[in-house]
Amino acid sequence: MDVSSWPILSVLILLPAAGAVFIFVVLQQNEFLSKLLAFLISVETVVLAVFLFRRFDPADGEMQFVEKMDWIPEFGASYHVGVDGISLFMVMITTVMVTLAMLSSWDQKGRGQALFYGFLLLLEAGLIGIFLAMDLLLFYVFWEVMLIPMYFLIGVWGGANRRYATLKLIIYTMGASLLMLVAILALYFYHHAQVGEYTFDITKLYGTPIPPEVLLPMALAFFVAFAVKSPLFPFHTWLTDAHAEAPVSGAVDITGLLIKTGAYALLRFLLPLFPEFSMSFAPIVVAMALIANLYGAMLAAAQNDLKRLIAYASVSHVGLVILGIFVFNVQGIDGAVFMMVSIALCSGGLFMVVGMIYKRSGTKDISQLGGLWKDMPVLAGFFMFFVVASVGLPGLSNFVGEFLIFVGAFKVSVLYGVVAAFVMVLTAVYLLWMFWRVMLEKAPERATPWRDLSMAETVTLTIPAIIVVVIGVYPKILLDRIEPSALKLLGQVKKETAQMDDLGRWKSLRLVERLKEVKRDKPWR
Amino acid sequence: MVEGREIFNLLWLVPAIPLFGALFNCLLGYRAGNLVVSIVGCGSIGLSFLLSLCIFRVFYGLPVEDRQIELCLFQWIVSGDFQAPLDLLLDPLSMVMITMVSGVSFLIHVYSVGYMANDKCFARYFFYLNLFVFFMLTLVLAGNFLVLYIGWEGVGLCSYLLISFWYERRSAAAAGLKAFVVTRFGDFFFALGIILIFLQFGSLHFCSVFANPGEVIGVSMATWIALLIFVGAVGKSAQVPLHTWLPDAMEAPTPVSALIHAATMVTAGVYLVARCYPIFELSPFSLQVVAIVGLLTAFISATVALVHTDIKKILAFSTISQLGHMFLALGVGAPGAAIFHLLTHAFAKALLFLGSGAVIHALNDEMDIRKMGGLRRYIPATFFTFTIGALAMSGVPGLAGFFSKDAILYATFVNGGPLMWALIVITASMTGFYTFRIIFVAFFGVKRWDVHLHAPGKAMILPLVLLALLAITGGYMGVPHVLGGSDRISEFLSPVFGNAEVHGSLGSSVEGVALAAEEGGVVEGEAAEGAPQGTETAEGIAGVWETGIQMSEKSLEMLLMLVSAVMALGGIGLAFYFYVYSGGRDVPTRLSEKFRVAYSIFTNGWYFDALYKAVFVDPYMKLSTFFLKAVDVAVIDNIVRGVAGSLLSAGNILPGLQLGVVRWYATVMVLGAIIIILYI
Amino acid sequence: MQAEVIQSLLVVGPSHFLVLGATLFSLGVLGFLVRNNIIVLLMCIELMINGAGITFIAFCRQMGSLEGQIFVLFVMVVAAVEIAVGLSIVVLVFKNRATLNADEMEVLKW
Repeated sequence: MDVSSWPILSVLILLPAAGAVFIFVVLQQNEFLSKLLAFLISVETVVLAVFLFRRFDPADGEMQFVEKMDWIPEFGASYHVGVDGISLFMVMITTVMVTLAMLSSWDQKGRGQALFYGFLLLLEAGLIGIFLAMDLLLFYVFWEVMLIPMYFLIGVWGGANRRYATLKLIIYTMGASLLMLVAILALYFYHHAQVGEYTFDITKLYGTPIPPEVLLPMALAFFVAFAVKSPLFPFHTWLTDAHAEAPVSGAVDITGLLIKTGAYALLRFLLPLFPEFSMSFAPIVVAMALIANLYGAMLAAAQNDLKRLIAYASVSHVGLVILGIFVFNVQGIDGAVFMMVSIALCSGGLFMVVGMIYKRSGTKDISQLGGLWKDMPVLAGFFMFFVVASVGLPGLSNFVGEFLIFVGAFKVSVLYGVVAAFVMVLTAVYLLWMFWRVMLEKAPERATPWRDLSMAETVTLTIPAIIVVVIGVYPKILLDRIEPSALKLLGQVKKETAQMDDLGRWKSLRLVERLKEVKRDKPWR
Repeated sequence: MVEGREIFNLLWLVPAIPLFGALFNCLLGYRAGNLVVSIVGCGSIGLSFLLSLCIFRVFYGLPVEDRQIELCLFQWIVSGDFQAPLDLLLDPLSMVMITMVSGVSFLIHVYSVGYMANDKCFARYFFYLNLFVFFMLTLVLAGNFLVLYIGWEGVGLCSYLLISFWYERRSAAAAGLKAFVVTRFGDFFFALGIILIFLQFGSLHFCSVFANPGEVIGVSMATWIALLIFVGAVGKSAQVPLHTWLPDAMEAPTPVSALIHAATMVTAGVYLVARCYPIFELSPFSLQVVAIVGLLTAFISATVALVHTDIKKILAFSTISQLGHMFLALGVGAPGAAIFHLLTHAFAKALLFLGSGAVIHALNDEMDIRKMGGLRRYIPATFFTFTIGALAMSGVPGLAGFFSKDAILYATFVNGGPLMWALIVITASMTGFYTFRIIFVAFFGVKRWDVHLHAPGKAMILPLVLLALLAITGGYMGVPHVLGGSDRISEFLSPVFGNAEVHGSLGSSVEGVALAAEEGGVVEGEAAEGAPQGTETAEGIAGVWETGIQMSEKSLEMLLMLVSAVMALGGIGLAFYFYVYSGGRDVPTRLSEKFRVAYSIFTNGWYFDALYKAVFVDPYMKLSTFFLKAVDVAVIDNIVRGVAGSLLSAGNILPGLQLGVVRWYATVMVLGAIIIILYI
Repeated sequence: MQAEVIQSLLVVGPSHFLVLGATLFSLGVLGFLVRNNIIVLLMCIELMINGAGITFIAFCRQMGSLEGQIFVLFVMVVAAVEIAVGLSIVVLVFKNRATLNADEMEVLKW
């Protein structure tokens, strides 16, 4: 059978979904079998993702492996999926991180482990769906589907204050996405009014002329939904609670994946759908991103709870990613996409280490830890590795993303570049200080020394560590594939903007007039 | 063995072999046992050293214009027009550096085998140390700025890890963090400088950036770039005002202090400025800044070294001071002299540190020189080699430090003016004073300790002896022409620095001499209050001024040399008078009482630490806590919760209509139906 | 004139059925609103359903289509089912609470 004719993207979405359903319906009682099945499926998705990666044509910036069929033809909704250089790596990293989450919670005790694994699979299906969807309605469905497993993962297996955290997570993000739903429908009807066709297909919706008086609320609705999910300052407070209460593997997924969807959606939907808005709104977004960047780093320094600290670190890093997106040049977007992959690995790794510490100590309070190095040198080594990677040591993955974003920011404005780059000092402060308080100095007296990492735990941590090194030393495997898509995206944004400018349709938006004065992408000389 | 030019294809092995060693020690060293670890650890560096020697031999045989070899390994970061391949560059500068780095590292590795023999974390130590050598060699072999940056950050990381090596000590953890953060602050500027270079030149490749920088950028842009790079160098090389981390870094095991915080890593800043010299040359202002910072650093830290009592901290401040000398040399247009001094200082200071390590080891981790004394009878080999190091350090004629320091002093006099020269000569005499203060206090006099002495083993003595040999002979690669030498090192380096060498712009400085002599005299007088040996200086200088004008260049150089030698010996003699000669025993105490303000300034390191704590550290922590409590929780999260809460309370009104009585619902329904019907 | 009116009243047409349906429905509503006993309430619901059914039949007769009759058949089946379920619920409620007063069954609030 010819492998290339497989609908590989649909398999990627459906396989975990089917696995989840099978576990819920059939295997619920048999814990071991369902764990095994879930794990095998997630490994299978990794294999599929790698297969996808190998068959992916790096030179092509367009959507590849496109599958399209009617879903609700009366509404113009279709099942339309495709992958390009940006989503390819999102999918890959999703499959890897879900597998790691399963590995790292393998010996988790408590009720309903079968369900836990089922929900993880469901989460994976939802995430991959988000990254592949090319149809707004389909995208919205996956966007909301993802919340269901999140709700249960945190609400059932989370920490002490999990109810509050879950409720906040669900209501906050769902409220924001409802705004987006309204905007999607508005776009849908305006498209019909202008073109005469009802469709949710984004390839057709790109470039829909929208009257300026509705553009602003519409684009803002999209923006807020994505900003909440990202999360961008000042919409970040759900993240810290959700992080603090999430189970270890759930937390891996939030940091690594959930928040990546926000930035990804900005790239895939907001920028090409509302290019004019994105360009003119950019100074404000950049300001928010820079504030998030420094603010997250500062707050992380004041944290006493390990998981919250890393949550604020994520806020800081996400600020950088969004900065990279909104400087509108190829370095910025390359760096942003690279950074998303890298954050998933580095923060995910940190979270897993914290989870392993928690498993032994039963606390995430930094002031009760200290001196762990003595008992657990291997764990300390991994902790150091991920700390250093997050700090941005060149040769490891975060540096590549960070540096490209700095370059991109610098190209637009010296101020952006300098403020953004200053975070490298602050990151070093809070991460190394955390490392000091957790790992160094003398340990308090303990009856029995905590045991060091088991073989399984070592393997779990080694996998992301190796990826971090590989893509840090040879980032070309990513950058080569991201770049054509990034260029295409930029082309879309800039072409649309130019057209709109010529038509002079945007005069009523004040921001736009400001935009014209700011000549973008001009090297600072 | 590969012969001829093909050997250059193996260049990548020079850093790679230590990396393999590091990987082995990291992954398997824990189980392998100390013997295997030390064989792998030292062996990998030794191989690397041998390889660089072979390369050096072939390289030296090349005609001068061919002495620039590039080796591109693979494309690293490529994004749009931003391209940074992983490429290496071998030119005379990096050739000298890799030979020195791998050689000194090898000796220190061997020494460490003895020094760390009883440590539980032997493998971890060698892992860090090998990793450090890998990054350091990457740094000096880099062919573009970003590869250099890999090494730059990597050595910082290893420095952090090694400072915090004895992690159970609170002070070690604190010192590590401080070192990393302070240097990171400098790196921030360096990174900005790199980005700026990319935006200006469209490339980060050394050869294309330095080919003709004057055609691409103007003076002001060159100044910006040069200053940004220089701040990075200031952080890494511990220059004022970012020097405060280096004294604390002495928490590291002593061989580490010798390797990282004296011989190699801290000189990376000097290397960087020397590497970027074509850009600095474009901007006289930036060179002035470099010179002034170097001079101030040299002076300030020398004053602190005068009064410190911790043997390692004295050496640390001495290192800072000597690095200041190198920057001064760079600033006054003598990069060759700077690199020369870098080399001789590496030998001498590594020797001093290793010697002090032997002392500390012998006395069970005692570092206070006041609790030593009379050691020369107990550990004679250490004493002997330490003294050689001290002599070389202070610039006593005939040893390594003399030639390099003299080259710097001469360049300072010619290009920097007499004022700078005077200050640096005073510093030179202080160098003699504080190095010999250690010797006279620790090795002479009465025994002030009562522990069981651990005499250093062979593994420790051998590197000391070899380094001592280097400290004696190292200077002869740069004997100046006036002394009948051929100044090989400058000649060798000249392709890198072009015509940047001191070209005796005597005329210009002669004009300023008369004026400067007066100023110089005044400043000397002030400085003399701080430094007790000032009177001699003033006389010496006065003599030079009067005669200097009529002197020909050659005899001027001879005279300057003489003055500096006299000054160095004067410093040593003063130390002898203070600490050995019975008549001068109470002079230090009396002086410290008389100049109490100066004394407390010196002992507190000019209050930099206190200043930074008050200005940066405390406010930062307060600010973050404030943001957390007052902004994040009290404002932002409260808004979120407020919205949710108001919706909830709105929701509490509606249940009042929900009586649960079926007929009430029915009534409402009927009423509703009636209303709808009426409406229709 | 008067004779015509009487004539039209005597000749049974759709309006008669509609009036009958409306009357039954109104009786059902009124009964539902004023009575307390839950069984009576169920009976009132039946009245309303049947009123609606008669109206259906009347219209379908007038329009000459069959849909209304089919609908009514469905409605009857549903009504039968509903009564079966409803009465069994009533029996259970009575067993638990010993009352048939609808106003006392008010715990199902939110």
